[in-house]
Amino acid sequence: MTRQQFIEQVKGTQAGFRRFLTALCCGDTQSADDLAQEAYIRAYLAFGKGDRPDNFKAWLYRIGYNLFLNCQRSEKLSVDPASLLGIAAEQRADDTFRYQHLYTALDSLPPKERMSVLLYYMEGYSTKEIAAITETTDEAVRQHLARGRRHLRNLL
Amino acid sequence: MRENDKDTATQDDELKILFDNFEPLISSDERFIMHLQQRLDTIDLLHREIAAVRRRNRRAVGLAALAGFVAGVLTCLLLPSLISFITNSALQGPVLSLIPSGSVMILWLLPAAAALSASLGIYNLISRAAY
Repeated sequence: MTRQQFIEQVKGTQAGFRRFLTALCCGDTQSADDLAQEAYIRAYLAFGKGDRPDNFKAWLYRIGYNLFLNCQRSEKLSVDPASLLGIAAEQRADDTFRYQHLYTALDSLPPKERMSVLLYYMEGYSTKEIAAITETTDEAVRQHLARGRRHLRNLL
Repeated sequence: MRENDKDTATQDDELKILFDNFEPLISSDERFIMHLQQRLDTIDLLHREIAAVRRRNRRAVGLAALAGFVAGVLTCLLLPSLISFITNSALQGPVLSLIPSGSVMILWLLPAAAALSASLGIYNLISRAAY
C-alpha cells in the first residue's frame, strides 16, 4: 500500500474511529486523538513490514483497543488542555456536560464490556466480529453485552 | 421469556438511538490528518536513513572482504619467497630466534594476519569516509 492509499484509508475511517475512541475514553478527546494517531502510526508501520489485513477498519479498531488497554494499565490517559485542540474551553465544557451521563455510565463499565457495547451499538459490528476484534470468544462477547446493557440500563 | 426478549429488543433500540445521536465535539479532521502526515513524514525519513546506512555498511563489508581475500592470497603466494629470503639472509638469526624451534609453520599465520589487517583497515576507511 502506498502512502497516498494509506492516507485515503485514514480519511475514510478517521472521523468514526475518533468518535468511537472518544466514547471509549469517556469524553477525553485529547487521549482519544492521541490513541487514534498512535493506532494509525502502528498500522502504517505494519503495512511497511508487509501486513495486509482483510478488513482495515476492524484491524484498526483492534489496534486502538489494545492501545487503550495499555494506556489504562500505565495510566497514561492525559488531561486535555483545550486550547491545544483549537476548541474553546466553554465549547468543550458544554459538550462534556451534554454527554455527562453517558460518559459516567460508560466509565462505570469494565473495558471489555465498554468495548463490546460500543462496537455493537455504535459501530454495528456483530458479536462474531467483535470477538475477532477483541480476540475473545463469541460467548464472552454476548456475556459482556448482556452485562453492559444491564449496567447502562441502571445508570441511564 | 418473550417479555424478556421484548425488553432486550427495546433496550437495544434505545441504546442504538443513543449512540446514533452521539456526536462529540472533536478537533478538525484537517488538523488531525495534518498532524498525522507530519509524523508519517518523520517515519519515512527515518526509514530512508536506515536503508542508506544499511547500504553503506553492506558496501563496506563487501569491499573489506574483497581486500582481505586479495591480501591473503598475495601473502600466500609470496610466503615461500619470504621464508627463503629470511632463511638465506642475515635476518635469519634475529627472526628465527623469535619463533619457537621447529615452528616455521607459524609463518603461515602471516596470510591470516594480512587478510584480517586489510579487511579491518578497508572497513574503517570506508566507514569514516561515509560520515
